[in-house]
Amino acid sequence: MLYTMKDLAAIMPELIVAVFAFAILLIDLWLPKKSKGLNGVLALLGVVIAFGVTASMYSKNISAFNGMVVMDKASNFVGIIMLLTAFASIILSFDFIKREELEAGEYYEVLLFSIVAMQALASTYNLITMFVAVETLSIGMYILTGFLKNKNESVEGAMKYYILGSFASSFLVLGIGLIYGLFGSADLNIVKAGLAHADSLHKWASILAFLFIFVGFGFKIAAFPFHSWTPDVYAAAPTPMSAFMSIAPKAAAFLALLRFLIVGMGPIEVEWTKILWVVAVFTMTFGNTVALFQKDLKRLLGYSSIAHAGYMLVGITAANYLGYGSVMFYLFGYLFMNLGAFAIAEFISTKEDRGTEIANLKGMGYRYPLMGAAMLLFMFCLAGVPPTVGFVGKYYLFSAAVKSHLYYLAVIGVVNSAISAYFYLNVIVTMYMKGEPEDAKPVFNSVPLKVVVMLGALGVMYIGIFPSTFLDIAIHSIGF
Amino acid sequence: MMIVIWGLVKFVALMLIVSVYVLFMTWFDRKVLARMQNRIGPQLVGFHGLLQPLADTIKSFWKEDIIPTRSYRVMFWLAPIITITTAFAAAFVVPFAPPIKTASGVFHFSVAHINEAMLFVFAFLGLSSFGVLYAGIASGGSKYPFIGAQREGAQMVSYEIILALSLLNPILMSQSLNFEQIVAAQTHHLWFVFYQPVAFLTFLISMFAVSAKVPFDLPEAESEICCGHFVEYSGLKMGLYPFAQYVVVLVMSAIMVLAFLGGWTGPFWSGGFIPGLIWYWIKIAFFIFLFTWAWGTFPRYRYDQLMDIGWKVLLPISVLNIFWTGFALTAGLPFF
Amino acid sequence: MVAIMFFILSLITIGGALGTVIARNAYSSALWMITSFLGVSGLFVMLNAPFIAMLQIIVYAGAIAVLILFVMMLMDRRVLENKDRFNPQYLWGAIFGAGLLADLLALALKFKIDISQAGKNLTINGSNTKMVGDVLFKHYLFPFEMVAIVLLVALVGAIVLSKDDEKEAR
Repeated sequence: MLYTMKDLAAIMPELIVAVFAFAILLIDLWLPKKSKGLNGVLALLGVVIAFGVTASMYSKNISAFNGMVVMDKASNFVGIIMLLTAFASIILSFDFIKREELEAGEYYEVLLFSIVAMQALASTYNLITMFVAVETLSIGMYILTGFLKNKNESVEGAMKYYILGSFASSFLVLGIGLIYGLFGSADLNIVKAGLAHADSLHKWASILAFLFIFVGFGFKIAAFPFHSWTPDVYAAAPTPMSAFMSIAPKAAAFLALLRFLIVGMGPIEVEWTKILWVVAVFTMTFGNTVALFQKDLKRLLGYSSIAHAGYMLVGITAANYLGYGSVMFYLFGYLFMNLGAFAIAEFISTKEDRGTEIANLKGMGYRYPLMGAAMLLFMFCLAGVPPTVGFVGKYYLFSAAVKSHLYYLAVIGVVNSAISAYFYLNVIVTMYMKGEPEDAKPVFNSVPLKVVVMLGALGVMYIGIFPSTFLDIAIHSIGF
Repeated sequence: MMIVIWGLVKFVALMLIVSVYVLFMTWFDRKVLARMQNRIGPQLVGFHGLLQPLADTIKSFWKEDIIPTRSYRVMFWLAPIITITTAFAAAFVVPFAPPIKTASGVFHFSVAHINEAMLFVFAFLGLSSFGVLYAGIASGGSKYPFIGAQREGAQMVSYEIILALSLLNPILMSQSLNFEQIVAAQTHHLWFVFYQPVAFLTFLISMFAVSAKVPFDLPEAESEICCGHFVEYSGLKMGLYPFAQYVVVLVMSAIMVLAFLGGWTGPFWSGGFIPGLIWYWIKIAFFIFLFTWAWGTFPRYRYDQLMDIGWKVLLPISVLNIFWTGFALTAGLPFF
Repeated sequence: MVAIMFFILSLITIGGALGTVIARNAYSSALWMITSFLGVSGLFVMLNAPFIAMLQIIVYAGAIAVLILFVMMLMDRRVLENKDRFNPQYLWGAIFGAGLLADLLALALKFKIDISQAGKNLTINGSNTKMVGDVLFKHYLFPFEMVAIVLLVALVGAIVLSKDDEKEAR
């Protein structure tokens, strides 16, 4: 079997990002200390080119490398989400790593390699490729979490992430082993065919395998019993990376989970929807209730991301194409709101301490009206207030649940949204109604950061008001 | 059953040949070194001192065998045994003469004729560093052996990579890990040294480093750390370390000849068993002489220089060379 | 003949593994471990997998065990010598090990394995070297290349996170 240009075309976006990562690895060796900023520009260039390629190949449908890689609308849609996230986080990083004196090519390089891994994770039906990709992106994320190695908090977060992550990965590989043992292949299409005619023993064994694999993916998307790393890691990581890892790995893992569930586990849909129902309810409720008591903005966003994973699981539990599509759409909207919120967290952070306590937001609405207004918008959006994208996304997720007659699930979701409004609005109240602080801390004045905030705000508003085009693309992206 | 008997016969023959070779290598080394330094060398025992190594061996049997009190006794015993065993094991798969076609098949002059011979040699050369490492550990916290052992470990780990990477080129070109097939591939083409001069040079350099010979004899640098890993050894056990080193030198030279210089083929008068045998051993003898030559003429490298040469020069060159070979083979360049 | 070879090799493997666990001295533990690796590689040869056998020696015994020894050499030997052999959780390990053993025994009794034929279907001309190449570089090429990236990222990360800053070094 010979591989041709067709195979290379299917991994074009991955290849471009990887080439730029290698280029940074080599160029960084000869860059003088003062022009290390060039690494970031290179990384940005790579992401932009990959974005262009992904967008231009959007409606291609290629299966390559002996079925190990596919390129379809879903993978391209998620690829666009990831590349947009990467674009914004790299811009956020420009001034950040200068301030933290971390000017190292490795930062961007590891970031780019983990993007490659995420792209691979999003575009495969093969569990072995999935596992390798999950490992690559996890290792990249561990490194990026611990990148502020002079801060104990960062090292601690990375260590926690690493230990828990290895634990989850071992479950993932156990599940994959079980599947391989049961059906003699790691290819999800073959697994589906085998499962369709399976006896009850095979069925129960594959439910067990599903549980194991779900531990691995659940860890990546921060679903309920496997969520505990999220707030610690988001608080510990460099803020641009918190923003990145709250969106991109999740998007990739959600698509991989969708592929696994729809294609591989399709014949036992009844069983896995029951399990996911429970997981979704607990994830939403847990994330939202614990977030009520958070004092730190980044930790708050960590818990809120758990809750949002719960909302998206509702879409999967609905098990219809409206649900799957609205998960994709929600991920797309979530990108803008979360990036913006994390950018604001970076805005109020300082080099010496973390400085992201919610109390530090006091009076921000008056001192920095533009940033304050943007934050207001992001918080409304995360809470799901119309006319932002958060509302539209949640509306479609819950209506998908209703369509599948999961009324209780939809009701619990709506109640959760109402609970979440309390802590999101609390942030806004702090910004506008708690008066001025006694000693106003200096903010992080970075032009690229403000650009990202403005772009995020624009995206949230635009997609919120005119959702139909994006919704259409998102819902038709899941074609398997 | 025949295979077992023949294996045993070959095994005994190999042991004898290699032992005799090592004995006379010590004489040869001393003689050549003496000539290079304008001395005469061993002269008294036998014709031109030929029996000197025998006398030395007999002497070392009667020497007092000291085991330091703080040493780990069992490991102290095992270390030289591991070294010598692995060195011999590496020699098992190396053919010592061209194969003969007989009525019942092909007769191979290696103790074990396996397809993965190249990997086998790597495996056991890698293991032979354990003897040295354990010598350092077992000497009971004595400083010089400890430093020597660490140097040996680091050197082996670094240079085995380069050794393997440079041998990958002949392997790629002949598409085999079997020495006889690699030689056969060179009869169709020119010798691989003409296609792979870079790999030849990197192998030549790493050959010295892996067998820990001058100019890379850091593990046992006499003038810095006395004798490195075998400072605490005495008598016969001490003798086993140079013994194993000579065996490694022989194996290395043989691999060099097999992989790059066409084994038993010659520029003229080749084919047939006797010419093959003669060509083969002339080439091996040349490389063995090269080791002695380097010993007499080269200064020792510093430790950081050794590591720099390995990781910063040879490794990138070897990797690029493999890319080149792969490209040339895939593109079907005229001489490949 | 085959059975005798098998029992010798299993004895080496199991004995080595046992020695690794119960040796009093960490250095001899490492030596036992290497013995066990050698036994395992012998078993691979019996399974018609000489390529894997050789890699077992080169990678595990040759490289990994050397690194383990290296780390131990960099530690204070008095610390190493006074370490307890077992941590307080050894009972759990023993229980799990016993469970696994029982499981494997049950399997071995249920499926009669013909040792002389084992692994034959995974070879080309009696050797699995070509087969490994085929599987890795044709069938699983993409994951294989991804693994290269895993290793690179892990390597880069380990260096970045453990490197002293130049400022502090000066």
